[in-house]
Amino acid sequence: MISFPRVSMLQFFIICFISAFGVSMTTLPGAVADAAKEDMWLTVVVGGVIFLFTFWTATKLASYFPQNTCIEYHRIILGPVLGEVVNVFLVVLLATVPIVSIRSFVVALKIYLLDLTPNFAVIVVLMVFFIYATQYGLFPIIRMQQIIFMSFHMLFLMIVLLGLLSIKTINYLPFLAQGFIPVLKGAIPSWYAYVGPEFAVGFFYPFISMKNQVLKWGLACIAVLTGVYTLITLIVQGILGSADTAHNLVPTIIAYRSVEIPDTFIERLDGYFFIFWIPVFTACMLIWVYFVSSGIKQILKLEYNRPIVVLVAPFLVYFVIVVPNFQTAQQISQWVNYAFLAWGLGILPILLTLAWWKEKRRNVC
Amino acid sequence: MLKKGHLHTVILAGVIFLMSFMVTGCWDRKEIENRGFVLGGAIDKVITPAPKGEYDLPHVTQEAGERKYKVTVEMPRFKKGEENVTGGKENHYIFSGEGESMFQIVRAIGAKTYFSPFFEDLQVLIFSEAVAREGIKDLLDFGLRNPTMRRGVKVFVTPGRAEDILKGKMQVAEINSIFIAKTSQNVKMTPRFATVTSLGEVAQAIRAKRSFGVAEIVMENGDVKLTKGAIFNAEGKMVGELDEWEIVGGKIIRRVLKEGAFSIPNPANPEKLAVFEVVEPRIKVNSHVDGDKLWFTLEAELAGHLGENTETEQKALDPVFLMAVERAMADEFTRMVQVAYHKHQELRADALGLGSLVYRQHPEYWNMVKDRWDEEVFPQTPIDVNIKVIIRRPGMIS
Repeated sequence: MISFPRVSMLQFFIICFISAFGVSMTTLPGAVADAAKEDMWLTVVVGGVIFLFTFWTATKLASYFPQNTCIEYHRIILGPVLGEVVNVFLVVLLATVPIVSIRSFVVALKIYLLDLTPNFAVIVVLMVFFIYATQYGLFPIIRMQQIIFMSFHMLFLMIVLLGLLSIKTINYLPFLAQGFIPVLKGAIPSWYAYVGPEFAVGFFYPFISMKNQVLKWGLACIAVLTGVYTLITLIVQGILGSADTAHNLVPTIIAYRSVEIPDTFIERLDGYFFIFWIPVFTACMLIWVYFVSSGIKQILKLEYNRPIVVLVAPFLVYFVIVVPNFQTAQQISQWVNYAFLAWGLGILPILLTLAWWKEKRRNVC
Repeated sequence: MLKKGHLHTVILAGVIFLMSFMVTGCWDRKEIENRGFVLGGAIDKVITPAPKGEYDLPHVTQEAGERKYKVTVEMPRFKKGEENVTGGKENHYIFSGEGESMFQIVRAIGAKTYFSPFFEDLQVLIFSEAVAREGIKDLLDFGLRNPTMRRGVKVFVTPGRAEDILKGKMQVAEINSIFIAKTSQNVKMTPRFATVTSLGEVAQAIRAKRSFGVAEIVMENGDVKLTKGAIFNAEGKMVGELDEWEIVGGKIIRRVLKEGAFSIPNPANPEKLAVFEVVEPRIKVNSHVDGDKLWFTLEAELAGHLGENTETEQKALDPVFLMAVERAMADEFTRMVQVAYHKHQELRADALGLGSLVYRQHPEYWNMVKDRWDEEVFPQTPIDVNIKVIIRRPGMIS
């Protein structure tokens, strides 16, 4: 019997948004520009539309087990052995997100802001923060996310909008000159940017107050995410052009470094971009570390995930540091992206079909 | 044994204590007087290598590459305490190094001073014509790869030695690079000055394999002027220059002409002048494809004021006079457009962005011709120019 306080729909919306909006917006335009050229922004829209299906699948699946988290209903659907195998795979997959993302974040931070600070220092500080923040359970995390969303995310989005001052409209044409296939191909690397809300449903569904509203709020969140990602991609495309965007490792940062508003107190935008990106990224990673620790806790059938975070953090630090270079991190994130794609468009629909079939059989009996 | 509440306080205190050590950014602490704020960079060919004595100071030893380029950087001289910079001392430092790799030269310059070169605030990058004619594509790699360099850096070419622009003494007590960067913000007021191109725009053109233009800058008697435009082909090599009339024509074709004053002989008395000020330009450039045939059309409506009429006896509100000025002005603009267009065709370098226009409007046709655009297709493509001038008012007197 669930006796915890409930997650409101606005809180759920915020969690979904924060879990997806962290690091990938810095690399997303580059990933899609290569495949789709001038239609790169359309690719991001297509990625978001396809992701709606994944979110619908995750919500529908969760609605069959309103009192269970995803770790628990995997066991119910697949049986104790296969269910546990899937759970372990899921936890490993979830853990790769903070590993790859923190590594990419630290590299970007080191290049543009803290050039002499060792990677280790930034990573350890982040982990110490995650350990502390997760000590008090889910609801303090959600409260903190609410505050960060209302303050830092809003200001960050305003900074994003200022990028419109430097765009050149000629960079958007021609439209669909190469046909629709490159747009679809580009949607594959854009997938990673949307990952997060389907796991928020999986882990938080039992705690949500108005379960019949989950799909509506979740879809609204993905629509907003799609809008924000499309806007960022359009701005980067407008500033750099598709050819130059494809050529840069972190095109969003490069583009925002080009935005200057001379003779104003803002002058240059990139400093503000970085300052507000740090809490936005940290909030995102906090959710993922919570997913990992919560997943392990439920696999081990423990009551609290506090000791798990303390034990997992050193491993995460080790794996973040052990990645030898940026290009390896990029390669790993490519594979992680494929794995999430397989999860969202392969495993989740299979689980939903099995759940539906079991439910049907139960009703027949 | 600590109570639960106390334990949390201890953990919180520990976290704050640990973070106060780790997030204060001490690793990145660098005193401002130890930063070498590079404000301008100049790249020249090495003319005569210095005699290779025991101390060959400008020479940068490289494992590979030749002593090919001389890189000069300008940094501000910060005054200390009550020191008056303008009183005798120069307000800038100039350092140089010679080699082939921009990166190694910059590092070698850094080793000559206690303030290491820092490019975040770089304002201008000037190439000598000799370097530009040989090609700047390879030299820009350092600028684009270096994380401290910004894409908004203004790129120039100078007919003489680029280092002279940074070393020269300006009339204004301002650091040369900053003076040039600020002055170039006003070019839109003077249509004959070439449009200033940024490092990012050059990079974009090079990546897209298209020709581009860069403003030429000269310095004389403490003044700088953006006289001509240097045209680069898709390989990043300078292939020619545009004079001031061709620059105006080019600006009309590229639809970047925003304002400016233009004079013609007064239709009533050719010994006097009529000056027209453009304030509301509306320009449309289109490409048309019919089978294998391609042509451009330029339709422009340049509205503005009669800025000056030196024939004082003339009635400026006389419609016949105004129509005559409009017609003569339109002919002048048409001539400038045609001259600029044909110059680009002669140079076989489409720095006007017409190839991009074809790509945007006829992508399938572009795919057929893109590989031979500059060399074959663009030089053979005609343009149909139709410019209309409208005088909205004759100024404050009739």
